[in-house]
Amino acid sequence: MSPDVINQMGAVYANTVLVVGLILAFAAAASAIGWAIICSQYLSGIARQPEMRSQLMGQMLFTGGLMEAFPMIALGIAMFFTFANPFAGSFLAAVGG
Amino acid sequence: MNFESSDFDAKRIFRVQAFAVSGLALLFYIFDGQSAAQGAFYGGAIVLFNTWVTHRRLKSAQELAKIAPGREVTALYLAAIQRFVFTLVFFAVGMGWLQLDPVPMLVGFGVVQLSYFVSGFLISHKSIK
Repeated sequence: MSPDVINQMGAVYANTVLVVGLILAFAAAASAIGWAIICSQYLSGIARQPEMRSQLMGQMLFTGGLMEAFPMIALGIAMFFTFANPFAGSFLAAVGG
Repeated sequence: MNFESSDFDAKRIFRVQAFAVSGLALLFYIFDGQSAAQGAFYGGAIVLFNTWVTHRRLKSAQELAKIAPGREVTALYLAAIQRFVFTLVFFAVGMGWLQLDPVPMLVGFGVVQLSYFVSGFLISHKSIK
């Protein structure tokens, strides 16, 4: 492998690491914002109707599960890029390595 | 949706997800072989574990709500962080250490995660009836 190809390979890995970091950051932020909205609505709900607490908690958890589905899938994709980088293979195939 | 018993709903969600895991692993086994089926099963099992953690946290939060009302939100928020970290760790173990097939694992994880919507539809459909 020539030094130029090694440099380009390094760039592929560096960019992948950057993207993984961004995916993790956005997934964490989205999850946190989603939970914050759901929890604040839950608290305002039990402030209005304290007797609904148990029902609201169930609803809150279920809604949280729905909301969390996409950040969790984003985590999975980030891990895929980390442990089974598809771009490195494509790059090597393109340069004939 | 009617959430008279969160215990019952957790069981229902778990059942739908377990069915999705089994079906998906079987499909991968038929069309892609054993290693793909193992990956898909592992990916789905991560979601099942997360559902179980959520259910346990819900129970402890309900106990906490009786003792210190309002504090249960903290417990549930911690559970969300716990699930986030567990998901990362399980993916790292599955792809990095166990060297399972990553694409079926992601597909399994995604499909079972989205089966939450199916269980939600079933619960709401039942509550309408």
